[in-house]
Amino acid sequence: MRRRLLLTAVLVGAILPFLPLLLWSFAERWFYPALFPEGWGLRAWSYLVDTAGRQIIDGLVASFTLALATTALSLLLGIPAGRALGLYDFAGKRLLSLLLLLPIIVPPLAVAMGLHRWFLQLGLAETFFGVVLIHLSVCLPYTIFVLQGVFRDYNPDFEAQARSLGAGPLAVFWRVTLPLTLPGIAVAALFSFLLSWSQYLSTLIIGGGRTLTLPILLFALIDSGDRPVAAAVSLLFVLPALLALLAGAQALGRGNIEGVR
Amino acid sequence: MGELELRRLTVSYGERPVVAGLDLRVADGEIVALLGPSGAGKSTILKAVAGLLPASVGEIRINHQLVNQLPAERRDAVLLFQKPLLFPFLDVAGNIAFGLKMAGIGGRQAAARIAAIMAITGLDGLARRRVHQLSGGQQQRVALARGLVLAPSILLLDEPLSSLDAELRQQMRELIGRVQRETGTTMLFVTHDQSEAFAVSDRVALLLAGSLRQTGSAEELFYHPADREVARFFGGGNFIDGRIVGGTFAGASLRCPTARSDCATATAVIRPEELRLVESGGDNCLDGVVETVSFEGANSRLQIATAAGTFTLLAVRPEGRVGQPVVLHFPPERLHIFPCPEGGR
Repeated sequence: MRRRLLLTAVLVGAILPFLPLLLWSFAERWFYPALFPEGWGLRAWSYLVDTAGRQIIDGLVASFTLALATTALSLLLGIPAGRALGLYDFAGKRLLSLLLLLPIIVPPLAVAMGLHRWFLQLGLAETFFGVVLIHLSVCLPYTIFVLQGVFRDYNPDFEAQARSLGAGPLAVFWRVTLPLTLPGIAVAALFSFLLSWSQYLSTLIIGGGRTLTLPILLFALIDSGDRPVAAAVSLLFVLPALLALLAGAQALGRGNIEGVR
Repeated sequence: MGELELRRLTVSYGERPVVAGLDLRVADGEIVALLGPSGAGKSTILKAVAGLLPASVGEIRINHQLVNQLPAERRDAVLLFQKPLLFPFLDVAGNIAFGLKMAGIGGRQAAARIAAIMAITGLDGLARRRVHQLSGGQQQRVALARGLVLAPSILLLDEPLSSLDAELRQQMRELIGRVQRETGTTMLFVTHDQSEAFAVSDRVALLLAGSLRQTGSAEELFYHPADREVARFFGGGNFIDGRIVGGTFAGASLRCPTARSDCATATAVIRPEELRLVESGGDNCLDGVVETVSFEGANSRLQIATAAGTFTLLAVRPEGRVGQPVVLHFPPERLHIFPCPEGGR
């Protein structure tokens, strides 16, 4: 009984918000005060596939490459940082933890505006790498935060044991550290991917309209007032995030969290 | 074939030396127990030998070859930690194969070696088992097999029995002994438990506060401790101060012959279980009063105050009561006299 209640709550909480979007994307005419659309059609979807198809695919590709690049860099920096913060005690550790969280405490608009000036001087504004960097300023704190927790419960003796059994530093990382921390790393990667995927303001400011990610297109369409099309793009926007989430949950479900106590 | 030699080995954590000036030799096929209280630096020595901690001073030689600069993965010594540390993402056979894979040994050769070592360690039929499905004793045996399969020159064991319960510990003790006989692997084995050290090893090295105090057979350390601290470690704290003149130790009205040369400040020691309560006084006896009696099961511990200090006696049965006057007999052949301290002649 309790389980069914929980399931219902999850379904209502997770699925219900998408219902209006679904309705809107198939609506031809829907005016106040009608509860449901008065005319149905595939205009929005055909617009998405035919008229704006090229743009949407470019947006998808841009968003995807950005999110992937950001996630990769985020893990590359976050794993050593999370490990250092999680495993070792050193002077200034608390201050450092606080500084690392600063980019997400300070309003993102302030961060993006501040960095924009600086990026202009460095020639990073309106470049792919510049946008990756600004996404990183949001993703990295979360990544480090998650990985710090992972490594706090990690037993580095596993690595020492592997070395004594003849594994070199690289083999230790690939064959011991990574498999042991994979569930945590999957969570961190997922966070990073989804955060980057849903960035709008920072992409707009640093990308200067040259990096057309899906959220940028989405806002433009919403602005144009064409609600069915905006709804269809929104659904398209959610889909990869949903897939990433499912893949992440899968990686977690495989969980052998022996090394992580 | 495996020989280990440590010369003046000093290992430090930061500035603080944990182990200082250690000299130790483990001969081929020998099993040496490194015994000491927790915090004495035993594990530090093993880690240094395995290459997981740098030696700040001194030499580590495996088969006469200096290995100080060799990284852990290339040293012909395998360290087994206190916990089994089995990789949870591999099954039993996968765990045992780990080191072989690192050494580039695979296929039929690896399979044969794994099968052989699993037979020796009593793991037959468990090859495809997930490690979390194993009992504590089985996990420890997989860990042992994972080290042994590499046939290292030296196997270093860091308290491999301390995480097991009493019965498993006994089984594992016997297994280590049997494996050692069957494979002839040289082993350096760390423990804080003296009975474990005595039962498993050929020789015992006692480590107190970061330095090696005495090395020898179990009986030597137990009955002929080198100094007061060693005697205390093995539970023998009955000291009698005296002097040696002309081949006789004399102190507190006790006398016993000794082969040691003259010494003005000699100390004799006697184990608590060697002291006797007798009916009436005679040679080598002291009058005393029972201070405390505590029943400890297999024996009872009595504290007896005498003119020459308080002595501890272990009796098989609880005899005497508090406040009772008694006569304490010191069998002279049971007295052990420490070497004369520097400047004591």
